[in-house]
Amino acid sequence: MADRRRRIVVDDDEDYGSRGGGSSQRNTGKRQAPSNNQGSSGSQKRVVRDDSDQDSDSYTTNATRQTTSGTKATDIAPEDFERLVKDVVRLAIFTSHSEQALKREDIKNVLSDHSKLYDPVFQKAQERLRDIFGMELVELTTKGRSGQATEKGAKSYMLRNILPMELLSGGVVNWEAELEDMGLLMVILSLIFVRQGAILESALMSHLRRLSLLEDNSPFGDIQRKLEVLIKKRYLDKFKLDHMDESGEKAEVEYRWGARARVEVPEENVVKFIQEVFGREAPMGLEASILKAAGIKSKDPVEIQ
Amino acid sequence: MIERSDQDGFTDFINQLNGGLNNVELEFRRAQDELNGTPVMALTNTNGQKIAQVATGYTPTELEYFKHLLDAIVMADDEMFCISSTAALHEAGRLKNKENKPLALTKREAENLLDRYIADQWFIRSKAGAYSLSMRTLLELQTYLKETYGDQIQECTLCMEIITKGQRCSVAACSSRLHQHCSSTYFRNMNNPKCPTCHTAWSSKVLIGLSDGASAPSKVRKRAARRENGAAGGEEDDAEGSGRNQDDA
Repeated sequence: MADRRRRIVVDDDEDYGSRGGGSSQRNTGKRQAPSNNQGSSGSQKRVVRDDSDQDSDSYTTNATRQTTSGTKATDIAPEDFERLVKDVVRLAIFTSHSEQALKREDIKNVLSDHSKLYDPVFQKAQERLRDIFGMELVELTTKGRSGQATEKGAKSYMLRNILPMELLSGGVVNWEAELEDMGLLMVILSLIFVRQGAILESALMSHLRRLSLLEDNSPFGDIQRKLEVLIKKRYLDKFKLDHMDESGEKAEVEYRWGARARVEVPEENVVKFIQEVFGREAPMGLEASILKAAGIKSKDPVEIQ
Repeated sequence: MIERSDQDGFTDFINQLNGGLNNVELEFRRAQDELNGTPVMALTNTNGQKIAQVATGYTPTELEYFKHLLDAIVMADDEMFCISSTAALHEAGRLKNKENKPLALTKREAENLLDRYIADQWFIRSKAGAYSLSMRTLLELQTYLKETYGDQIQECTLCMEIITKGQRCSVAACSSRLHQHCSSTYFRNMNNPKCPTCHTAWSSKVLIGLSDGASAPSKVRKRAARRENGAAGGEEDDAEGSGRNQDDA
C-alpha cells in the first residue's frame, strides 16, 4: 500500500528530532532556508532567535533587531511590520485551506502601501509558517513548456508540509476521505513518469480501462470528473496538441504532472510507489528500468538489485 | 479514563500551541459537545476580517442562505434553537442580495446546500429533520453570535460557554441554564438539586433546544434588519405559507 505522499519535502535537513533541551518547546532558531526557495533577495541571512524568549513578544523584539540587506525594513514601525507578517501568514493559511494558489499580487494587496517590503515580510512569514505550522510556501513552476508560460512577476505559491513523513503516517492524521483519490493520483503520476512526462489521453484511458476504472460501478464513479478535480487542484495538467486524435473529431490531448504534483511529490516517491506495487514480484533491476524509462540519468551509480 | 495529570498536561500543551497561534490571530477553542459531553476542539479565527472570508468556500448566495438559517435558529421561539426542514427550505425563497433584489435559490439547490452545511459540520440535523447549531458553529462563530445576537445567546451557568441545548431553571424569569453534562457534574451528589442562581428546586426536565424526537418550530421569527430600520422588534414568518408575507421593512 503506497504511503501517503502528499507534501513531502525532498531535503531532509530539518532536524526536528534532535532539538535539544526540554525547555525550549517552540522550535525557534537556527534554520536555513532550503535552496529551492524562490531565492528572493536578502533572504539568505539566517535568523537566530534568542532561545530564552519564551513568550510571543520575542517576535516583536526580533523584528526591530533584524535588518535584511537592501530593503528598508526599519522605515516602518515594528508593530506595523508584525501586522503585515501576520496578515500574509493568515492569507497563506486561508488560501491553502480553500485549495487556491497564493498569487504574488494577493500578497501585494495585503501589503498595500508597503509593497517595497515584500521580501522581508515574505521571509518573516515563511519563518512563522515553518515555526507554528510546520509548513512553508513554495513557488509553483510552469516547467517552461511553451504556450503555458506565465508572465513575468505572476508568481504563485502554495503551502507545503515540512514535517517528517513518519509523523504523518503513524495513524495520527485521518486521511480517510482522500486516500483513494491519492492512490489514483499516484497511479496516474507514475504512468506519466515512466513516459517521460506526458501521456496521451487515449493511452491513459486504456490503462484505466485495464484497471476497471472506466466502468459505471467503479469505486471512483465518474473517472472524467475525478480527472477534472485533479486538474483543478493542479495535480495534473491537460494539454491540447496540434493534431487530431484517433477519432478525428477533436484535438489530441495529453496529460502531464501539474505544478502541485511537482511541489508535493518527489520523484523518488514515485519510484518507491512503483516498487511497492510490484512488491515481491519485482524483477531485478526494476529501479534502473524505471529510471531509464523516465529518462533520468542518475548521478549516483544505481544499485542493481 | 484519562488521568488528571494527563488532562493538565494536555491543557498545557494546547495553551502552548495557542501561544504561537495567537500570534496570527488563530486559536484552539475547547468545549464539550452539547449532545453527549464529549470534549471537542476547533481551530478558530479570532479576528473575522476580510482575508478570512476566502476560507469559507461558499459563494455569496450560499453564505447569505447560511446567515438566514443561523438567524432563524437563534431567534426560534422558546429557546428552541432549531428550525424544521420545512422552515429551512422556506427560507431559501426569502433571500435577498445587497440591493434587496431576490436571490434565486431553487428548492433542489437549497436541499443540496443543506446537505453541504451538514457535511461541513455547520449544522446538525436531527432524526426528525430539525436543524440546529453544531459544535463547530458554536466554537468558530462564537464571537459573531455574541456580537450579533447579544442577549438572545445564552451561556451555561456552570461552564460559561454558549448553550443551545440543555436544561433551564423552572422559574421563567430566572436566567440559569445548564448543559446536560454540566448539570450532571454540578448536581452529582446532591439529593435536592437547586438552581445555582435562584435556589428553586431544579427539575432537569425543563429543557431548551431540541429534545430528540420532538418536532422543531416551523414558524420563523427573524431578527429585525437593524441596518435598515433600527427597530428592535422581531417579525414572524409562517413557513406553512398561510398568506402572511411580511418583508423586511
